[in-house]
Amino acid sequence: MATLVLDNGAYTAKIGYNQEKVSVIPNCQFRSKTSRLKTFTANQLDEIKDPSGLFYILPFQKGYLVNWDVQRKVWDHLFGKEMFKVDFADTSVVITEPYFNFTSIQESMNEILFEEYQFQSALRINAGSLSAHHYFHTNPSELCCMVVDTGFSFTHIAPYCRRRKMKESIRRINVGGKLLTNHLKEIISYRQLHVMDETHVINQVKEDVCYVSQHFYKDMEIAQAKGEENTVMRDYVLPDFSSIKKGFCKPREEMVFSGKYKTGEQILRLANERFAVPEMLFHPSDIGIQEMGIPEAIVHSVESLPEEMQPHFYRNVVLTGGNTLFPGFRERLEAELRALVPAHLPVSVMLPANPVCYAWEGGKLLAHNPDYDEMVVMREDYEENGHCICEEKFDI
Amino acid sequence: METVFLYPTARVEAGQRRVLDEATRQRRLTRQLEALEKDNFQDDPLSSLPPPGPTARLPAFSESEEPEKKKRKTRGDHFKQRFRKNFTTLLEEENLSEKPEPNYLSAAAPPSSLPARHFCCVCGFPSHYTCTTCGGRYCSTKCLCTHRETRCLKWTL
Ligand SMILES: Nc1ncnc2c1ncn2[C@@H]1O[C@H](COP(=O)(O)OP(=O)(O)OP(=O)(O)O)[C@@H](O)[C@H]1O
Ligand SMILES: [Mg+2]
Ligand SMILES: [Zn+2]
Ligand SMILES: [Zn+2]
Repeated sequence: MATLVLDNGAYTAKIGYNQEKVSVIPNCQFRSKTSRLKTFTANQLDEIKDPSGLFYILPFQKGYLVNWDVQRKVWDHLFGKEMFKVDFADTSVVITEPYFNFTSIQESMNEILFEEYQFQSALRINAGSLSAHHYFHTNPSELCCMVVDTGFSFTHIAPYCRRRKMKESIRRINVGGKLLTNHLKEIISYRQLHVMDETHVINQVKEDVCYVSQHFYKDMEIAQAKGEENTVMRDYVLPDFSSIKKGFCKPREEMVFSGKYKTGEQILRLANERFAVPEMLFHPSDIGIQEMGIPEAIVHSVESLPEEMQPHFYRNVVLTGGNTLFPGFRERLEAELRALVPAHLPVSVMLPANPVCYAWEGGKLLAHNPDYDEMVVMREDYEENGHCICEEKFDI
Repeated sequence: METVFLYPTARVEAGQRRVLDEATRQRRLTRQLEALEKDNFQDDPLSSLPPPGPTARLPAFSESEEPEKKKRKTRGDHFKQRFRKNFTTLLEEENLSEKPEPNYLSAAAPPSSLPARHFCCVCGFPSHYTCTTCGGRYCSTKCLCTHRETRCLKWTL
């Protein structure tokens, strides 16, 4: 029997058998300006030669699965003969869902896994729980950990005490990578070039040039300086998808500080945008979202937990999700936490080698765990007992 | 940084100055935040095709153009209905105000206790001044001018 692990994110599906490596695949469909009649699914994105003006069709809204038509198209493609060739009758699936997933979505999930695809067995679980499993697996002497998952749709702060998810202390911040990209798109469009239709291109710009500042107001000053003294400023060469397939930053020595470039490429000049955008993870109120930023929310969560446990969480903060890849993210979070947490308590923030796939890797470990068989629901059990057996066994 | 506007609709004529009330300012902020949740700004390329001829049939939204090869049994309309609800509808149906905490609503991070920071809505640098008309922030007379010529009253409902 095989086990398929699927961290079903709103941006990418992290998928692979528990004996194999992980693949990261867009969890959506696309339409392009150049072949309007065709709908591209998941990694068929690679077939689109000119992804300018790329149109996204996403199965998730605010982090919750709402468009099942699209989700099933993506899953049919992933499970099908072109990709994972799933033999459903002989496969167990580990699949992730967001914290506090709605009851109706959970029931639809059961129906689709057991009735439509007919997996032999399934484990539905929060991605953060897989991350916690991963963390405890590699740090067996630790009692608690604080999972910070900052992905596409939102950011969650989720404390775990051994296997137990401390549900009452989970905090959600409504800032994720989607909002950051859209905000960058918006400020670039207002300040220099209309790029509102270029989500795909600007998302790449974000991943290529944005970073988390360690000294916010100091970087603001540098970003305001003229000429060479402005060490924050970057000129980003936009792709034209013919001679320039992928955008990139002009090397410093080729930057023209006054006047125009003689070369004909289209350039975006970025200065405070580089760090003001990821800053929203630390200060959502900068754009009017009245919520705590990540460091404050961690403290808020920890302080709601039993006092004797509190020190354990601060020294076992683990970062997951795509936004933690911004350079400087870990250092800034650790420094801010250090300042907020009582001085006698140690603070330690860990950035795994692959924070995007950390939950998936946890799922893979879990599938090899002797307890795994106890955690799943078998298809026969579902057929006999319906949703209630899933409600009993799964902790979503 | 030279500010160049290549986005023609960003400029609107400055009309008479009026002062926006708090409710309007709040609505405006909500709209800005909602825009940041959008999947796409542009129209679906499919819908912007030239009008079809009498025999052409356009596939509906999120339906692939290849003829469906049905492997699994199709479900009734009731099933389809259930699978087409948006986030707001689903959230309402969860009826969370009557359900025990913790839940989706109770998990939201509370407002920060740190003082608000202010940035110029034109250039993004720290700002010390507030536009008397709309409450937007600006850092210099240059940015105030740009703000007035562009967004100041443009986003009112
Ligand atoms: N190197 C990078 N730098 C900055 N951001 C990145 C980087 N790589 C990925 N991201 C961002 O991370 C986000 C995706 O993260 P992730 O894969 O954790 O989300 P997801 O699991 O699909 O979504 P969710 O957990 O919200 O359902 C995207 O917005 C993407 O732009
Ligand atoms: Mg995720
Ligand atoms: Zn300004
Ligand atoms: Zn104004």
